[in-house]
Amino acid sequence: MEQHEKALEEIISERIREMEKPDYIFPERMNGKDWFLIIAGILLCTALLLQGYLAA
Amino acid sequence: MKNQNLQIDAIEKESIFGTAPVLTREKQYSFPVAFCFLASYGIATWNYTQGAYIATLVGFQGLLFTTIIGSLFMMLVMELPVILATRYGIDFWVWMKAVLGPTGVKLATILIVLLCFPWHAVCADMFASSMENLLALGGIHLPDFFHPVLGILCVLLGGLVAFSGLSAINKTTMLLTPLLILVGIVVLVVALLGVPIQAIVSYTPPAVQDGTLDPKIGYTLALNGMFSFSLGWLGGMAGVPRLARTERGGFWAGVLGQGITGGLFVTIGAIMGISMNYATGVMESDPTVMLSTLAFPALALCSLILVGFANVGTQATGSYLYAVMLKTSFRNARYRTLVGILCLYVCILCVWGKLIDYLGAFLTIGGCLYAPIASLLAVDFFIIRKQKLSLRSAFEVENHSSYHYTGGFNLVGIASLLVGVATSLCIYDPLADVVHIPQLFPLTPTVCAYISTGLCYYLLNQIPAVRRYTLADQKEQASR
Repeated sequence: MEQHEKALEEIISERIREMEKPDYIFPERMNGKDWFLIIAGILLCTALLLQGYLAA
Repeated sequence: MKNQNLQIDAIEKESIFGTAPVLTREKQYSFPVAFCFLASYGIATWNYTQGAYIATLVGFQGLLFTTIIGSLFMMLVMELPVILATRYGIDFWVWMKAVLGPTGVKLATILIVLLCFPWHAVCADMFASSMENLLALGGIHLPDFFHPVLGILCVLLGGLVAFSGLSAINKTTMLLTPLLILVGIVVLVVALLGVPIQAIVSYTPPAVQDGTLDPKIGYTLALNGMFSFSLGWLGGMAGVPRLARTERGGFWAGVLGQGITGGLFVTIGAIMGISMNYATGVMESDPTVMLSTLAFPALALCSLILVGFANVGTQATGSYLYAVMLKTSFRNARYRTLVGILCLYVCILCVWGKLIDYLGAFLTIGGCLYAPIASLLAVDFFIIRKQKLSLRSAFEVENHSSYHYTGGFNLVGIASLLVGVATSLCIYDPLADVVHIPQLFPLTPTVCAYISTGLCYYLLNQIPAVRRYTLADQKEQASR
């Protein structure tokens, strides 16, 4: 078990080292269009839920 | 060479099953695949149970607002921090070690399993009902004690698929999603054809009709129930996005796969309940009972087989997601052992057989806990830690213990979590069904718990000493 733990820790450390390299490419980030859709979606849902409450 | 291959295989398994971070080049899921995976989980047959519950609180119009819009709203808010899972290839529970401390996360994941995983017993129960109704169509009537046995069979079949690993689950999922969609369409068509449309559109819950339930309180309870239901995805919400190739794909797969399709299927469940209420006088939450009552035998037969398969698939997907979640906290535990423990828990609930009676309490108590956890994660990720984490401390690599805090607990995170739970319970007592603060109740206890937790965590971290305590990882990052 101790050997497994050490091996696992080495694997994790190795992966973290790889992620810290300057040339490591992270997955493509969300862009402005995504954030606009999220904010608009939250605001629209809030308005609709409020309307539903008032109509209840 | 053979040994080396075995080692690589083991490494890949470790990363897939939740222990090590997944690197960008290893990520497997495009948006459509992630969407199918999450949608198959989001449209499981427990949606019908939830739909029937919502239909006891609101009429048809309120139903559309609370289920579809409510679900979409909560998923848009709750899924925001899921981008961290895609970016770093980690489950969000790894990040939560910075917020609650490693021991705090262990306790939180156990609590989440205890409160969330019982939904899988609902699926097992439906599998048992579908098999019983199938046999009944053939003239075979099983004695009552067979019901839990069939439920356990469903759990074991799902567990076996989960045991086989991600590739078996992926295959099951790709088969499962169309099956579940087909079940939903059949249930909707049968419900709509079984009774006049006007009876569904003009439906008012009996409690509202006889004046025992105020319509606005009913609407808020339904909305709160839907928020809690959506937040119930929290435990495993990062399991798939961590394997997604882009942040966009991971995020929208969750919002659309679980939010929109989940909400739609809860609506179908509610329409089914209303239809059965009109036809038989009972608000039925089990689609298999409705199919055997309202559908003609051949359609009922096919549908019942579909429901049976669908529930086995849901068991498999759920066991995988929750085992991954547990593995982030208990990293030395074997994946299969964790799947075994999860299956055992559901089997015990199947034998107990009274889960449906206590489902409302499970749902609301769960909501008290999920909302504060989701809020802590969002505030910590976006505001406090500004999207930067010490991965070494989060994975508890030797000589890196920034997140050990006080005996494994981040007291600031724990205190904020307790404030959120207390806020929810102060506004509404789910067990006694009593509203204590009517002024805040329309905001729903879940949203109030979310806001109060985030606010408390943010304000506490404005105190310099507290900020130094929470951001102990900054020294570590600066020293590199």
